[in-house]
Amino acid sequence: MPPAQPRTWKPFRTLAVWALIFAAYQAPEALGQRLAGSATLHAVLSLAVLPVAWLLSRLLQPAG
Amino acid sequence: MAIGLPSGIYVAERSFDLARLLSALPWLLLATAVPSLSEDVLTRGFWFRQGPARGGAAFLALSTLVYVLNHVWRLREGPAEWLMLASFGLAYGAALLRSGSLWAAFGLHWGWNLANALLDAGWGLSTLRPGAGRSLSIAAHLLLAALVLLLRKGPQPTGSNPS
Repeated sequence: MPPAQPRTWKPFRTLAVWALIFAAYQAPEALGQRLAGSATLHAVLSLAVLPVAWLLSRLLQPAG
Repeated sequence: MAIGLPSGIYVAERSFDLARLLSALPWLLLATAVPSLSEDVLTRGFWFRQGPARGGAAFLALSTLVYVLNHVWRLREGPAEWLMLASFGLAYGAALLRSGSLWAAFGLHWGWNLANALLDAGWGLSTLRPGAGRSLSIAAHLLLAALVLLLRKGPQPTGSNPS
């Protein structure tokens, strides 16, 4: 079994990815809850956050 | 509610309406679950997996801070609101830290949001004394955090993103 590689944290890339997920989270609340006043729209739009977060988090995975 | 109603912190606008609660239930299950889960991913799960501090007090502090700051629409309500949000973040972050699973944090978070929505649907609860209401919520979450931290530690994240 190969020895585990030390994990290197990439702050800028991590923060950039998180900022995009943050925007994806805030947009449904801003559009649905605050502008349209609709909890329904907020919840429906929020469904998009999960695949967005999953896809973006893959950018932080090691290549290969 | 057991404390808040008799002490006049909350008031029920009507007697318990089961039909109203049941008719609202399916929608409330979804409407509270999705934003709760996405917020857990954003403020806790992401940092548990990808952050610089993946265990212990440092993770708890970071995830609590992110959770508070994520409530951009409520920050203008002042320090008492920040404190309440921090107590929420602490309890839910502790659940993730102790269990090693985001589902534990989601369970507590969703449970709280759903319970509030159901109480409102069933009784039409209003808060008469917001400051005392916040204090009750803080006490409930600090108690939750303490109980969770007393539990045995679960699995921790593995090193998944070496360079």
